[in-house]
Amino acid sequence: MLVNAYAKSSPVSRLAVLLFAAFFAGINAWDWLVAPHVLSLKAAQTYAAQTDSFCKKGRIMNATAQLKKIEAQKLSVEVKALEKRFFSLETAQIFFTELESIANQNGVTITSLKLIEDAQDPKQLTGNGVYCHQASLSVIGKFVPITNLLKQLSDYDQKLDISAVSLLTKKDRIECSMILSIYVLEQGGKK
Amino acid sequence: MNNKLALGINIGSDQITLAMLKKTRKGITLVKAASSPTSESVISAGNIKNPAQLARMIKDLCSKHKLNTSNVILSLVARPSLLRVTDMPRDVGGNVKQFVKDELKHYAPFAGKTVGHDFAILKNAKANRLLLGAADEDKIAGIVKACNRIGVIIRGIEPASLAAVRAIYAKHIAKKFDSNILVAHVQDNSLTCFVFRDGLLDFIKATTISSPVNPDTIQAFTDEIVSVKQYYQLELNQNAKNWEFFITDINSAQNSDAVIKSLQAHLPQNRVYPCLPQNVQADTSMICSNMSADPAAAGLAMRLFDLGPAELKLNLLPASTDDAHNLQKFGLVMANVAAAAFLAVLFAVPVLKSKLQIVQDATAKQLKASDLPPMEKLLTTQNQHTSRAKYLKDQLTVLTSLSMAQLEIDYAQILREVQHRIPRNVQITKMTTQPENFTMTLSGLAATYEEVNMFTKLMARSPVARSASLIKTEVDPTGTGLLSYNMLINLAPMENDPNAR
Repeated sequence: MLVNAYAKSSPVSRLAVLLFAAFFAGINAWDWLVAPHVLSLKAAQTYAAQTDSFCKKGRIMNATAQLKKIEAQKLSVEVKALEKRFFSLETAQIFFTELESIANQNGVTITSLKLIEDAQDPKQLTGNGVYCHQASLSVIGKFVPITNLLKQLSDYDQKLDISAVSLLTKKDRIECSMILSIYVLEQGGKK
Repeated sequence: MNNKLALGINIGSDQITLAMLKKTRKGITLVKAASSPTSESVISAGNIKNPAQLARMIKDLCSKHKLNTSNVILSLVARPSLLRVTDMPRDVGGNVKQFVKDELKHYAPFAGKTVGHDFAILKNAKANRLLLGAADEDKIAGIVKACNRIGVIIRGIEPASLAAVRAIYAKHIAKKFDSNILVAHVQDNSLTCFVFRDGLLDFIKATTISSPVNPDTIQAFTDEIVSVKQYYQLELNQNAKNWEFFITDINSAQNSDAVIKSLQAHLPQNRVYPCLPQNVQADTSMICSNMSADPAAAGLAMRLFDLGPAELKLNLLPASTDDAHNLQKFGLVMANVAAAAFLAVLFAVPVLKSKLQIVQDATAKQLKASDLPPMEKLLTTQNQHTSRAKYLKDQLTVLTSLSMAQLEIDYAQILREVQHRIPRNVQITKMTTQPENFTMTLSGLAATYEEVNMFTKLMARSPVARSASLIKTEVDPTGTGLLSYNMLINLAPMENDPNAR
């Protein structure tokens, strides 16, 4: 049937069929052969542009991170220097252990030393792991040794606050009571 | 197609003659001329018996002489054929085509045949006249198709006699208004006479005769030509006019000489001139370089360059073959376009591939050169350092503010001040501080009021106190005989000296 139709067709229609076939083949050839490569090329170009952008951003981020690292290192040195002014858990224990000998060195006797109840659950002063521990201290001795003791305590290397000092004369000696507040820096902000 | 070259082919019953012309800046140049004998099996009685064989002969002849066959014009080989000058009635107006068709309908030899025809309107002041050519289209189409099939591209078909007249027109006919000119073209068994009166084509007479090789036929030629002259002298009363006779004959020079001698004998007072192939340089306006060429073949080729007068141009190429050729040409062009497109597609693939490779290589190189960790890791590192720096900054701020906070009350200093300022006979029994009020209360015993008062004044001058006042004095109720006192001291805050500690 097709052979008959082809034989009876005019040259114009044959040419038209051939042209259509050529056009169709051209479109398909483009779709099958060229279009995938064009798409791949476009994708590769987009990827290249993204890579370029990524590299630039990466370099900026890297530089920023390095700057932050240097800043953190500097801050760390400063913080460490400051941390020495605060008690750690160990130095706080040592302080309370050595407190009697400090008192004895100054010629006074500790009659009472107890943590204030609130200090059992020490208040965190900041969110950065600085806790305030308070203790009530009572000593008995002469006036000048008590003054020296107060002086030594207030000049302590770590931060130590003395408050609510009261004196009471008992015969030839003086009883002195006070509240000691020490600031303990717990490592890593943990209690 | 090379439009600068044109090949005219005059097909006779005895031989085929070719003339290739070239269009140059100097003018039209005769490039090559050739001829080849034909046989009766190919052409017989003025008709082509075997178009395919004839086409093959033409192709072979062209190949032998290396002639371009893309722009070819053939002489008309078909009987019956018509070439004549016709008067056109005045009422025809613009519908000349229909007039020509009607004329051809009345021409008996073409009855029942498809007639291929062409016409040219002659410039004649006295009447509208036509040069009309016609032939059996089927006979023409046969040779055209056969030629086209083997690559000899036919652009036109024209009677050889008309082509011969065109060839000599510039040199012998144009601008000769003082004489009548008769051009007699002898080819095969036909004699065609063209009469030019006052420079314009006036009359055509075609006669079929037997072969011009014996004295009888030469006499017949002579009689025909003489009869035309006599017709003009008698019918049109043109005795006074001079006559010139030009004979174009493709047959041998010997035959031409015989015809010329015969004519000169009958027309002793008129010029009779033979237009022979060897005289083509003198007879035509072409640049010939002493070459010989058939004037008819040269005239045919000139037709393709649109040379010669417009009224001497006919083209009997059937429209169907022309259409087929155009279609073929269009098909060829489209095929070339398709092939070019396909080639472009094929070439595009490697080009795109190489471009892709270049881009990929560049990207890989860039990635390698940057030597950066993955983006997630970079982000994590940056965030870690940033949060660490922020934490440390906060910590530093807090610790600095805490460490800078000084003891507001220096108890050791206060005790030292009290120790230094207390009078000899004054005793302190109790000291209490109220840090929230910045006050201190001293209680004790003194011997006299003056000493208590002096102690109060001394404490008021102390740098640790803003003021000091005695709030109560009384005789000691325990019966010691001393004076009991209570003193209130407003404490001065410490100087906030960060280097104090």
